[in-house]
Amino acid sequence: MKVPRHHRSTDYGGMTAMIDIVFLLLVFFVIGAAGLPKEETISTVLPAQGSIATPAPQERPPQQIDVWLKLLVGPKGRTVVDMNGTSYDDLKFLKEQLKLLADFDPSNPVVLDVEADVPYGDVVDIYDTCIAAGFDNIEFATGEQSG
Amino acid sequence: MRTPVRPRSFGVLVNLTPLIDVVFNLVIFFLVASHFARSETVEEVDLPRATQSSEQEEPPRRLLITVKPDGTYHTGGRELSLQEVERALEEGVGDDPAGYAVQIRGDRHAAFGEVEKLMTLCPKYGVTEVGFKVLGEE
Repeated sequence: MKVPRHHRSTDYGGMTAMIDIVFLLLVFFVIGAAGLPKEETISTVLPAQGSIATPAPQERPPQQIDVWLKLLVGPKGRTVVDMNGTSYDDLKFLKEQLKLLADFDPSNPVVLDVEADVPYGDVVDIYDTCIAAGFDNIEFATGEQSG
Repeated sequence: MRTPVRPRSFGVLVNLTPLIDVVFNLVIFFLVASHFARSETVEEVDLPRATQSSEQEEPPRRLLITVKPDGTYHTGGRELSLQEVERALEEGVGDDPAGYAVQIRGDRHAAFGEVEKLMTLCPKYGVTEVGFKVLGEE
């Protein structure tokens, strides 16, 4: 005689495995979609309100000079940098010159006077170079000052 | 014939393995999701590269503005005019400009003039901390 067996089902239709797979897929796509390069920050401190004005001449060491870097777009459409009257269209050479200047006296104030149509990437590149060279004081000239 | 009966065991036998699987998956999912939710990198731009950048702790009070190559400003996935950016800055700063930061995510091909307009706005509301978002060295 066949004995009737009380069979208790523990099969939930594979729900657990399905949930596992769905979550794993979600995690995979979240990571995949956000697999972007890590963004970092390069900081600058702007002058406080009311201090945007032509600075009064101050007493300073005689060897200290202002390094004016005028960034403009040259005739070939490339960014050209004018450093205290000398034009540089080779940014690599300019970087070397900046490094030499910073080695001589890092307290020389650097002023970046940038024309409006210069690509932002080039401005960040020059600003980054000035920091890397070791200058302590790097400022941006505003439109009013440069005009 | 008498059928032999197995003695009934007391209590419910619960298989914990799938439960733990699901819980761990949930934990991983929320950890990953919250990590990327904080990064706010909504607008895709070609950021400039820099060597002197650092991974800084994001200031708690800040305005992150994306500048696209066409010079448009975006904040929180929304395109804003310069006047709207100024209003957002004014509201964000409130009465306490100290500790408030403006972060600029500018496309490297965008004209600096558009970024300069944002930088000129900052001192007007007492904000002195400005950060440029860049890609670090590879």
